Amino acid sequence: MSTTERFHCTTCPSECLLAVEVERDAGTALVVDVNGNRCPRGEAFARQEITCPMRILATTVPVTGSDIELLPVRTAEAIPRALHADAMVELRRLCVDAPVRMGDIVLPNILDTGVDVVASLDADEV
Amino acid sequence: MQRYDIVIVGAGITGCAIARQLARYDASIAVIEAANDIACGTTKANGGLVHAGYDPAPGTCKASVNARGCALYGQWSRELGFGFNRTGSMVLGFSETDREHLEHLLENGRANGVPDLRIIQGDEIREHEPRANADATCALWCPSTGYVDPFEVAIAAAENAAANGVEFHRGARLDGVDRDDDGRFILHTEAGDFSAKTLINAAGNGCGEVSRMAGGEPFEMVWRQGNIAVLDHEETPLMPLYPIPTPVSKGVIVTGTVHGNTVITATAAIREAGDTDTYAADVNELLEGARKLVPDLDTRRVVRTFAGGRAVIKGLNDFFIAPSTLAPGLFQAAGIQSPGVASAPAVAERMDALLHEAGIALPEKPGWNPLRERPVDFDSESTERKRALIERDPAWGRIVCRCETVPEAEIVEAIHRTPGAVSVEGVKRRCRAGMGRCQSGFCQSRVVRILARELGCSPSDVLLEDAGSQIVFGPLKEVQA
Amino acid sequence: MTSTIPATAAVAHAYDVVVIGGGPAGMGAAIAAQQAGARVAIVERDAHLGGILRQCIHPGFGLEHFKEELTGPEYAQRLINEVAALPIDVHTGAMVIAIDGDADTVGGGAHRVTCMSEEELLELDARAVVLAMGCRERTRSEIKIPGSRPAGVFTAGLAQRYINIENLAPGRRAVILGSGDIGLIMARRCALEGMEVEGVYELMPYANGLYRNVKNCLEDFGIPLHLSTTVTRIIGDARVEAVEVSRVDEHLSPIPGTERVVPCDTLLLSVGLIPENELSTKAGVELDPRTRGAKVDESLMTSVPGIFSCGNVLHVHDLADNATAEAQRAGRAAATWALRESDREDESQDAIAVEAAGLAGYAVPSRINGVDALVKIWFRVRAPIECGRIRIISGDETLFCGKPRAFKPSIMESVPVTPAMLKRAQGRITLSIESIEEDAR
Repeated sequence: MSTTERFHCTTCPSECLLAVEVERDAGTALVVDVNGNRCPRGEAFARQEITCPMRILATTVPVTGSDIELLPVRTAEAIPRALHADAMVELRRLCVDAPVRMGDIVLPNILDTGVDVVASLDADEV
Repeated sequence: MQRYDIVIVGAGITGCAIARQLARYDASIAVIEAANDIACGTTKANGGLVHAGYDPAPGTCKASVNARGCALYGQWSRELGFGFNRTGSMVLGFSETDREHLEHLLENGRANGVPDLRIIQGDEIREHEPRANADATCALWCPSTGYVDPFEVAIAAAENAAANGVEFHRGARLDGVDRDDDGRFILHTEAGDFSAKTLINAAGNGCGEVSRMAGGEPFEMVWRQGNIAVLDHEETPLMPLYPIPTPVSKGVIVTGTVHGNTVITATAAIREAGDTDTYAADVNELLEGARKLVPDLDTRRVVRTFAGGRAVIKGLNDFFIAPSTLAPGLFQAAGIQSPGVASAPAVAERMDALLHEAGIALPEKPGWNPLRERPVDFDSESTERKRALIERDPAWGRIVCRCETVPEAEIVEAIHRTPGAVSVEGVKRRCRAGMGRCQSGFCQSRVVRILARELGCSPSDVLLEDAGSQIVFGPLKEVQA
Repeated sequence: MTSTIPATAAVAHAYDVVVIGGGPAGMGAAIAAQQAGARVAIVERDAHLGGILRQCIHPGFGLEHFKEELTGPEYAQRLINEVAALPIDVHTGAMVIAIDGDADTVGGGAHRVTCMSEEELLELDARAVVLAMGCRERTRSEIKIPGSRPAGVFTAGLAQRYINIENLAPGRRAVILGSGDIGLIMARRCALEGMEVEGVYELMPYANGLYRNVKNCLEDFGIPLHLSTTVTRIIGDARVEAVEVSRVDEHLSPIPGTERVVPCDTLLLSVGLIPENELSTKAGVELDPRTRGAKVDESLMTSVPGIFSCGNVLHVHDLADNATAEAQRAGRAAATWALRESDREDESQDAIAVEAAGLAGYAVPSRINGVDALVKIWFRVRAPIECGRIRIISGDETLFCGKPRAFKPSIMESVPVTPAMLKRAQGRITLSIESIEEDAR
């Protein structure tokens, strides 16, 4: 039996309210229909959100030798939301040395997701 | 055990003023204070008005020190380098009944020695304060009223006392008092024991407890709590405007401050001892009261609300300044409620006289310096002087508090004065960092870092005010070398 | 033209445009002004450019301006790199303490910007000044939360600074008051860094932030959002021990009997932002009491000729991208003003006043000088409207009537006003947002 789940698309500031028809069965979810989206990205988002919600993780890692103490970092792409807690544990062990440039990889392929963690900001050496 | 000729209990404005007064004598003197810093009790929760002295009933102790204290403020502010504006004030009347009250205050004031009181009306009211309610038909004009920053007064007095040899022991709550075989007081405090020949009780709301411990007069204290609101800077600070007083208080008063803010002070309610909470009903009463006096006051511009308890002795609506008749060597400066700020210099003078009358030897101290140099207030300095300061030390050019334009050097200096700031609030009281409209939202983390550096501790040890008031935990993430 | 600025001993720096503030607005203005041919300087009080974006480490920026989703630091870094590639003088660690503080020193319609840094007291002379100082957070005192005054009460932005810049934790168990975007973002940030977030409380019957943040910051972490509920007392002597929360009625007044004491050691406040205009006011700039930002014309010039305002110091934006876009307009206009051939000021007496009415909380600009170009009026509604419409009125005439639709106070919007409409305006236009009944459609 299908149910309708309602949530907002977070792809852009328009924040369309999506009505997603889902058939759930023994741990699997099948998207039957998506309504309310004003662009194709909304439908893709809805399908992803039902099957495996993906989020960019942004946090900080300590940096030495710079005039900033923490370097803001992010996953280069969204990774499964369910992995964020483990990713935070992984990143907590990290400490990087200046100089670092925005986009530099500070941790490759986090948790085997194929996604790198990259610097969000330059940290100049002092 | 440290031995002193005189120990003053309480480093509020009264205790600090007494310390400053007695510092001219060749005697060893200490001030012990329960809190982490000076001026942290009733002094901190005060509107800063230097009331002229027309309120107290003639013949009371209050009446004898209020007008005199007010008169002394000019000299004290010059000697001690604190801000004092003698602006004059008005009590506004809106009816014939009010006018009768004003007549009564006028007579009181004349009996108490308040100079140049006059009842005025109409345009003269607006000439003194254009923003006074246009419905006011009459007013008591009192040219001697002024205002100060009460912690600045206490701090200035304390620093001048310290410069002349008075020692300050903070975080030294009095736990008990004994006498030794010579009749000296043995004071047991959190910061160790002290011995004193003469004990002065200036403990504000704690004065009942101190008197009891020292074997003095038994009196109970009443916590008459007041809420106060501070508003952001005005182009021209308001003249103090008073309503017709109530039987227990002067009512909700609006006044400018030496820093250009507006203060609305204060409500009066009997509450549980130690209650410094603010209450929604009290704050509303303040704002409504203020609008009655100054209808165009933008009460959205509240920067801070706070509360404190006036040091009121139960059953005695008066100060109690006297040698104890029960405990020889104990001198009371107790029940210093309103007008405590205005009276402080005169209370100190009175205490000086009482000690002399009691035959305590107080020879003049050679080299006593009555002057205290005002610390540099960067914001009010000229461009040329600012330039020179920055050239001397780059820390003058690093603005930490942007609302009040306080550079790092001013904060460092506040920490290293004697007695210096040991907390974020202590820094704020000394140089105004965090006092402004953003209430330290911008500068707190920077002040925490400066305090940690100068006091040689970790940021997570830095206190907002008293013990247990740590601000942050950390570090969040270990930096691996 | 350079001769109109008299040389004095102290002056070492003369610019066409001086931009005050090096955040997303300031950098945007500086880049645009430089590209329009002006000699430009930025004065930034922090040691680095970037402003508040440096601590906004979360994604959600840049979709408009850079056409891709960036974190705050990335958005800042891109602008920093653009500034670095241009001949723009950057004075960091310098705080402006006055604009035209000493009126006698500069002539010829130029402005003098006095700033302090640890090297020196700098005096910059500028034909045009762009104000881009941003905003500050409303405090506990401004919303008058009763109770005690212990350690552990922070504005959300201060807590964000502690966590993301200072490497310090503001507490262990937090209650957050206010569901604005900063409050929501901080709920997630605290949770990710191992703090417990008891809940987010919101005075209004709706969440103030974007849906995206309610979803990604609260729902993802199982943090409850309590609507129509506020903090009515702070409890704790030295450090926060608990807060009392109460439900509020339709007039937003706490309902007696609904009090609940929530143990926590930290209260974060996300209860609004206020443009920081003390410097502007001292320079004589007139403010709009609704926005608490400057009153500006369509070129973003304030009431003081040659002083422009943009970004959060003008009115609070919900997206950095919008602030940058607005700042680019201000930067271009400032350059045009600075490089103009004559001092002719022929427009201002015929300006059309712009007012907000109905559910429109404000309108920017507040005056329009020219009638030959399309002007966008920016506004924000005061409360959510399920179905409402925009009307632009002048006198008795409706110049424009929009289609019925929904409006949200969390979203700043604009409506275009055409030259045709401006030419019909009689000295004053009113932007009104009106709620309409279903059947009236």
